[in-house]
Amino acid sequence: MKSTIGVGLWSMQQMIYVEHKTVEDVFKAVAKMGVDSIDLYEDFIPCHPVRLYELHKIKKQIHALGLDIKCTWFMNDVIGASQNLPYEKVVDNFREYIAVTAELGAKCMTVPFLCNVPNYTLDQGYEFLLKFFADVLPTAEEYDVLIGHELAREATIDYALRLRKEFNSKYYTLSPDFESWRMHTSDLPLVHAESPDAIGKPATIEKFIECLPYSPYIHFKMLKFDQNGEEPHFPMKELMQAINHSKLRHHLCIEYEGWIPDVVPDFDGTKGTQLCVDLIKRYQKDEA
Amino acid sequence: MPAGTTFYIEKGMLSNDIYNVDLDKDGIVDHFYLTVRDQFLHSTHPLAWFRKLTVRIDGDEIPAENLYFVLRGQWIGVKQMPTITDIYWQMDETAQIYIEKKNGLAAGAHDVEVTFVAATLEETRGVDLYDRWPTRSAVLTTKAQVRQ
Repeated sequence: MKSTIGVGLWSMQQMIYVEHKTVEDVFKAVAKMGVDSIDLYEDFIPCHPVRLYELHKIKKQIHALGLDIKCTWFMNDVIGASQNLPYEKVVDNFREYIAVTAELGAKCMTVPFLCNVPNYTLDQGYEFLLKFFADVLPTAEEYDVLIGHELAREATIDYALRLRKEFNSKYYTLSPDFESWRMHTSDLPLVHAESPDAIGKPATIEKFIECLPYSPYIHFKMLKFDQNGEEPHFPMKELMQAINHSKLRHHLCIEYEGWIPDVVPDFDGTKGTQLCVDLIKRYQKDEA
Repeated sequence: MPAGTTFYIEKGMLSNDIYNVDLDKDGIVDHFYLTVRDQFLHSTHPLAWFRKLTVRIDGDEIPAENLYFVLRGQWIGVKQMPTITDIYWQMDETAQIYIEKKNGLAAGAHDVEVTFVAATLEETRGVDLYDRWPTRSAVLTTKAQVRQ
């Protein structure tokens, strides 16, 4: 089934950091790309503290460009936060993010699945998340906002699949992030900022297919392109075939990351994001 | 969550200008300052995300008691920064680092090094108040010119 396409504003930060353009300039640049939505990442959302008028303003700016806001993303590590804040405060922060997402008219709030508390295992994290989501899913239902648990690390996928079975709620969904399927290459080692000394391993395509029925929102990470406009760091053909053959209509939220220092910071980030759009449409057309 | 290990865009973060100022208006320069822009990846954080901030001028470390991080006109001593959980530095927003020093800085060019030490806890509102997580450092350097 043909997916919708959104640009996650994580993709467009070169315009902010290098060109010092305004947020509205970024919206306008995305509006020229031929996509369905702008997907707002936390730094673009006036939520620390929440400023209601500003929230409505960016919503109106995006709608005026003929685009939706389909999803939000917050840098949220509830397990880590619980080590520093009272549990109820962690729950309330999360509930506020849900309310902000609803206020923006977005249908999904994506948050990373993180468990990097020193000396804390993923099994312990799973037990924490069982309680946590039991406490926040009623709020997601109240606001009619899906939670998309972002799976950007291979190790978290099975735990999220278990959570999905446990809750069997349409409000707990998975958001596979292609970062989990990225291959270790000499130009881009499979390492991450929270654990810079550890080399990761990619998840399998079979695991991606297993996630798809529960994954209305997918984070379409891309880093850099070859001369043919292909992205060689991911098994793109297999990922796109699985998406195109899925029974669910997915939303593909582009996260172009070529602009960060570890990748190709001198390459134009807007062009890179457009290449991502073009790549998705090419694969959609091939399957049609 | 990004690929790679770099967590800031260095170019443009630190100004190339230093300004001497007479804050108490007694005719004697008492501080100098430089400007820094929030270009961290996942940039919006409360100030306590930074577990430490140090400044070196021409190789000499400025004592913490003489250093202030000034955000939207609010003066926060760098010793207190790790306790500030609800003043947020926003994406691409500028702040000033003030250094208390009688007579300010001599005219000319100076080597500046500003180091932000940040927690690896990836959570906007739940900062690592007890320093349980490993840290990483953003070391910003420039040759800055004193402007009057």
